[in-house]
Amino acid sequence: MWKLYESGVFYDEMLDGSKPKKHYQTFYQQLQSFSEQQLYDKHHAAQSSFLRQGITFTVYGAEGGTERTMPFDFIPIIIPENTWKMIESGMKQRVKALNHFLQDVYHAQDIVKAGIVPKALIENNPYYYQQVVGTNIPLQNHIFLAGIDLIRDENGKYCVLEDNLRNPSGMSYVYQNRYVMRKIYPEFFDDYAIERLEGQLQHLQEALLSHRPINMPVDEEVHAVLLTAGIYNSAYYDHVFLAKHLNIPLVEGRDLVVKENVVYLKTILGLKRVDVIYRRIDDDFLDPVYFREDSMLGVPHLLDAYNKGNVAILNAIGNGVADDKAMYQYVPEMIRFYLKEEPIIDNVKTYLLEDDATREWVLTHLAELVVKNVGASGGYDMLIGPHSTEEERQIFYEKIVESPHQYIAQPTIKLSRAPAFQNGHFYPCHVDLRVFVMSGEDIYVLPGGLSRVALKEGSLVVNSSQGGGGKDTWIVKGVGEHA
Amino acid sequence: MLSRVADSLYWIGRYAERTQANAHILYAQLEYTLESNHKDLMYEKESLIVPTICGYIEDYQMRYPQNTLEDMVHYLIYDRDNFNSLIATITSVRMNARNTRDCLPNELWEEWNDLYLDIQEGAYPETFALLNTTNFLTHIRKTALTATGVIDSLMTRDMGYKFLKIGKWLERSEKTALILHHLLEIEGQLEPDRAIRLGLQLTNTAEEYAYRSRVLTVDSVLNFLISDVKCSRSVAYGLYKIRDTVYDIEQGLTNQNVENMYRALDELIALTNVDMATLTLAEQKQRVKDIRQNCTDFGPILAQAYYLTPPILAV
Repeated sequence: MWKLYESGVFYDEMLDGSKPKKHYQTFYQQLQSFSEQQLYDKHHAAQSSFLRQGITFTVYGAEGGTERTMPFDFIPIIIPENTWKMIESGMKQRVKALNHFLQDVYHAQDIVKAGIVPKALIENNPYYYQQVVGTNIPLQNHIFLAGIDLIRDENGKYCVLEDNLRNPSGMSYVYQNRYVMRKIYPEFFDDYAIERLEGQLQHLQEALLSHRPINMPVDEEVHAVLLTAGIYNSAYYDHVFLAKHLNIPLVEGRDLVVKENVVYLKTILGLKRVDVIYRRIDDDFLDPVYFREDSMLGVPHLLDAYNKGNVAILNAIGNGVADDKAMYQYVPEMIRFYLKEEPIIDNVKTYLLEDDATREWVLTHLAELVVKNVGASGGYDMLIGPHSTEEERQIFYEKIVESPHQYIAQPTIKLSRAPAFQNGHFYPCHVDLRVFVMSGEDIYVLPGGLSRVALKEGSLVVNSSQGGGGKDTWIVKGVGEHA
Repeated sequence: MLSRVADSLYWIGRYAERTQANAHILYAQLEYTLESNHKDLMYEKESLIVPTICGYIEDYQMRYPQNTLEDMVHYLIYDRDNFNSLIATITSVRMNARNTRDCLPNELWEEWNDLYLDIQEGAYPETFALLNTTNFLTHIRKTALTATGVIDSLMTRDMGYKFLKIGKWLERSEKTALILHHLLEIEGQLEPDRAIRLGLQLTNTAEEYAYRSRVLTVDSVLNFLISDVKCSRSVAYGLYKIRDTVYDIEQGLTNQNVENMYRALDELIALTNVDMATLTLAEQKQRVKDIRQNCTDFGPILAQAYYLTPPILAV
């Protein structure tokens, strides 16, 4: 008989005290039928499956790049259908508002005129590109694929932690986690009706192809490609997976050329026109003529083709202005301003540090707060106050004093936890959920998303580059939530 | 199809074929060596055949002057500075497959990736032990054969398939020409019939030849391995397959580079179209040498026709 643990002061996805919640009961009963050896064998088989299929990401360290798999944990995050409907609506609402914002900041800037978002916050943003101000883009849609990171607080309430509107990665892991779960842990699916992932990529493909360039005749077939940085990129598997399932060529910058403001693909039979580029390289690297001139990944004069309406680039150039950690604070106001609605899912309380009084307060409370660099991601350049040393706090104190606009602070949330099974025992780990939102003529939310888990005991960092792992996420029909 | 992708697929075809052929040649040589006396004069004369056919002989002799069996095995299997060592060609197959995963069946990737991971995890240590080495070679050959099966059963006959196959056929034709060229050069130094027997053994066609013919002469073996289009390892077989495939790719369309490719291919095929019995030994040697050189030259001509870029090498 497996005994897990006491959920304690944290909200636990699976447990109330030491007992399973209603939607986890069937899973829990099934779990009891496995011996430690069986679970160990399955665990080993699951990890090998990722390695065998080459589902790896590259970590760069002192010894150069090494290929690693994202550790997989078999206990899924189970979300009852009703809860999911709320999340789904919240995600659609948020992405719609963010898209309005992006269209607005690169055109009329009504939200600045209305005094809601400070002009300086836009103009000083390193991801706000003058090069694309006024550019008309297909469907006026800047966000083809968003990855919104959600957490739950100690009461189980969902909050948005972060918006990723540039190149959110991880969708392939959603599919691979489900694949491994079905293959190696089929017993656990008994008696659950789960939202399927099959067919969902059809929505992504439709959304992709709906971004017909402004100048393109309506009766011509759209040719799309996925632009990758290549096999050494940490998310290369994600790129391969999506290109394969979207049925579009996976290309590198050197495979493309711009002639007379039109983008072409270099094929064995000569040049072939490209209409839509789903790029997975950052803005700075897209075009060495207009952005970083040392970029080896981009395509010279791509921006010319984009600005002339001859090619669509997805996600649009310049989305970073909307997903930076300082702009995040204004998203609820964006929802109110553009959609005239109240946010369905709240933000985590965030302190901007340019205001003297707020900054002073934050600097005296560093031990209780989380401090993040507004431009960083992947858990880098971040201080987790309660886990920090005096020396680390001093370093961040100085960083904040030197560049207050570069950092934000948030209260340390008691992140929800879920059980993980590693090294032969169960223990509670902090989790978050990346939800993928696909937009074209319509807007869809991939059911579930990528549950990320901080497998290092006590850690709050879920990023795969820092020891985080993944879990399958089930949206189940027909069970109520017992929170 | 993207030129870069076509290029990677072409090189997967070449490296996979090279891996399979070299693993076979080394395996055959190890078996033969078991029955030889190392002090035997013939053994010494034959000991450079395999490094010549499967590697770079000057490089080998410079770095392994002792030329022991262990040296040869290390150079041809594990030496990463030898771009043709099995470790290097397997890594190159995997790297190029990784670069084209969106165009390949998962099973093909998994087959090569499994072998690569086994090597990385130390399943076949570099310390020489005959059993370990032959097991490793068997594993490599099985992987290569399974991968060929996966390609034939699961791949659509589209451009990707065609470039994989062109790489494989060209590699095979060139290897057969290389083997024959070298054996003819040293034929006088070997025991009677040894060169032609080796030719059949190293091209893995001894059984097929015996099934087809009872006569074993230099002329008949040369005809079999050069111009017989029923022998899947003959030079002509590969070249005709390449010709059919490039005509299929072009579908009548052409340009200067493609014209050059057609011309080079026709010239090469014409060289193979000969009855070796009508030539003197000196003429045979020259003919085989020309065939080999033209096979080597054809790769860059093909690359020019399809805008191919340099391959990814093992790093």
